[in-house]
Amino acid sequence: MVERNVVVLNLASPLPGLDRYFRLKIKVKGEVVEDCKPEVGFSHKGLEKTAESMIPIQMPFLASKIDSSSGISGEVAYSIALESALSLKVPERANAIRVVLMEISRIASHLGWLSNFSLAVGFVTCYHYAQRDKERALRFIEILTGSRISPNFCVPGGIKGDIKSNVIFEFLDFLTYLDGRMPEFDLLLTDNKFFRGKVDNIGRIQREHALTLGLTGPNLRACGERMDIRKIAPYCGYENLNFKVPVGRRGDCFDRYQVRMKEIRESSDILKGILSNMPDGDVYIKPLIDVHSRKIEEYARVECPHGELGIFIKYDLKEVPTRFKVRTPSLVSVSLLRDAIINQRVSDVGVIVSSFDICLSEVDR
Amino acid sequence: MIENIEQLYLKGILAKVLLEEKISKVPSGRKVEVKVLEKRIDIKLDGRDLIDVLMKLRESEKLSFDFLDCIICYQEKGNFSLIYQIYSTETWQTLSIKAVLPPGTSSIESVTGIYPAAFLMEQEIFELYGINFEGVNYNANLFLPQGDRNFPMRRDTDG
Amino acid sequence: MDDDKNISLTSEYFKSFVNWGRCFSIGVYLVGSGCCAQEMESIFNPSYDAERLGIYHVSSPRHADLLVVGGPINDKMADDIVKIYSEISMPKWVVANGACSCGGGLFGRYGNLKKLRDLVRVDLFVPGCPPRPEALIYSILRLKLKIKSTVH
Repeated sequence: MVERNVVVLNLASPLPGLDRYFRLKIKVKGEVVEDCKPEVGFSHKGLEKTAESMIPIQMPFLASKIDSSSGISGEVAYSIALESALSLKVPERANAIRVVLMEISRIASHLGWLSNFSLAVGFVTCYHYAQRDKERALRFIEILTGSRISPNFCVPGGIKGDIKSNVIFEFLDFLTYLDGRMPEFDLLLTDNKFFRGKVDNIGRIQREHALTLGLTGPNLRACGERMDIRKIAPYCGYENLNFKVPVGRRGDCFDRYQVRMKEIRESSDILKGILSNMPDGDVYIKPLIDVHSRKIEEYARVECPHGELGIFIKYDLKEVPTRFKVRTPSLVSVSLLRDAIINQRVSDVGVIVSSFDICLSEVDR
Repeated sequence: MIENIEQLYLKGILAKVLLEEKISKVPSGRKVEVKVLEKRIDIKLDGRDLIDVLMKLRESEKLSFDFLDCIICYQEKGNFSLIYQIYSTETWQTLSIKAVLPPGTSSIESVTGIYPAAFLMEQEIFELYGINFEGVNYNANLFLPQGDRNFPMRRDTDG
Repeated sequence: MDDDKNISLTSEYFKSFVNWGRCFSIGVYLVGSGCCAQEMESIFNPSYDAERLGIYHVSSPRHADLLVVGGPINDKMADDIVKIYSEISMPKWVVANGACSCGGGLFGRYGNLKKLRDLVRVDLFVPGCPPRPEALIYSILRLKLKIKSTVH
């Protein structure tokens, strides 16, 4: 039976909220969405199978390709998995620099998300402002590691390079500059009634339903659950740092935006604290035992800007792993899209999808 | 506020101590190994006992494990094993259940009745490894082209 | 009429004038997945600003002159790339961005990854993993030499 006024639309890449390649079939009656079905798999490249032929010196580069907006997260996850399995000791200075890199990647990733989100809502000025600040943050990752997107910097046992004192002064100058930029974003977006009218009470998800599907990261914190891997299962010296975890209330698009803006401020505070008190010492200790010595089966997780990134490795007395499995946070966000889009207007679909910060190279691996 | 944290801590410790007694007895009589480590609890069991143990864990008052994080599948010398990573939302305690499938088989009961999050994870494992989950029919492919049934992650050679 | 002395529409001078105009108005349609996509979109930043060179971003293949493909290409994506390529009208050019679309790259050993030159006719290859935004802008500037010799 054919219903009247029901149209099936295939939304794909040209919309500003749906970047990369991702297809969403929605069933529309009038202006209201009735049903939706996402289709993924356009970036499936076989990362897990490729890892089964890589020796340990090649693994950090492959692990940095998991999350394309913050490449250091995958490397840190792989390193701490091997370090806890082989009981390797990491010097304090290496842990401090790892924290520095992870926090500046978080700032860069959130600013990149902000530029896409404001383009989806319609505020083109913020796209330009956020991209300019994101480029300045990526410049610091490049000064430290040599590359913007795939650093290839963190290895089991420490890190590959050191940080000089003149770079620390430039870093602190950048953080002071960023502190002056955040009130500008507030003026343009948070306190702007036209922006609030477009994102308030749109795309709500319930906290209990999100927990049953396994959601993590800023999307879950916007629903009211205080869950952060840096506090639950600390790694790399996060247990000694003092920082707050921002939480929202309603679970709509505005709360997801607000949680990420507050996280940028918290990351900036963490960076100021740790750069002023950098411990001395080496940055790398050569491991005395390696993957040939015993059977390894270990699961490690870190807090990447999208949520909880988990890596499972299994070595069986050979140089190449038997299994390399990646648990990515964006796959769950794709399954939650259906609950967020139903009974909303078609013109809001781009805004809602963009507010979840879905990284498609993570979903498809 | 402080009382609540103490109560949760005591609940967690007590529940860990009592856990081993509760889970070790399964109706079929097969062996269930429980190891309580500093950061997580490891359980190893046969694939056919999985649902019994999970129901007991889910219904515990003091420490209910209700957040399924991920399902990991690997193949060792032709035998499949599945690892379920589960958290408890009260204390965020980690639990790691390894279900070893009997040698030569590739089918296990689905846990989507207990954890709705398992639907996508089992679909991916079926598509890449070919493990049959009884009770649910996974037709459409997520990552591979439609109709592709090559199971690319399987290892044909030894180890 | 004396064709040697008057400038008619088929003369060499008029064609080179039209090709010179084409060089400064290149509409770019980006298709990307993975790490290369983030660097490809960055060329329209205020920091790199490709628009001052005449390169602008379009959201439909019908408005485009240049197709830039980045990231690994599997079976599902290959069908769509061929369809998009057929929708762009002549004259059109293709740039393969990054190691994965040039020849498989890091993931080339996995069975079903394709190379871009087996699907469409490629004009320029940009190596890198991922290539910097300046590399992509430089490669489009080098493409202008090819544009200047268009016959269409």
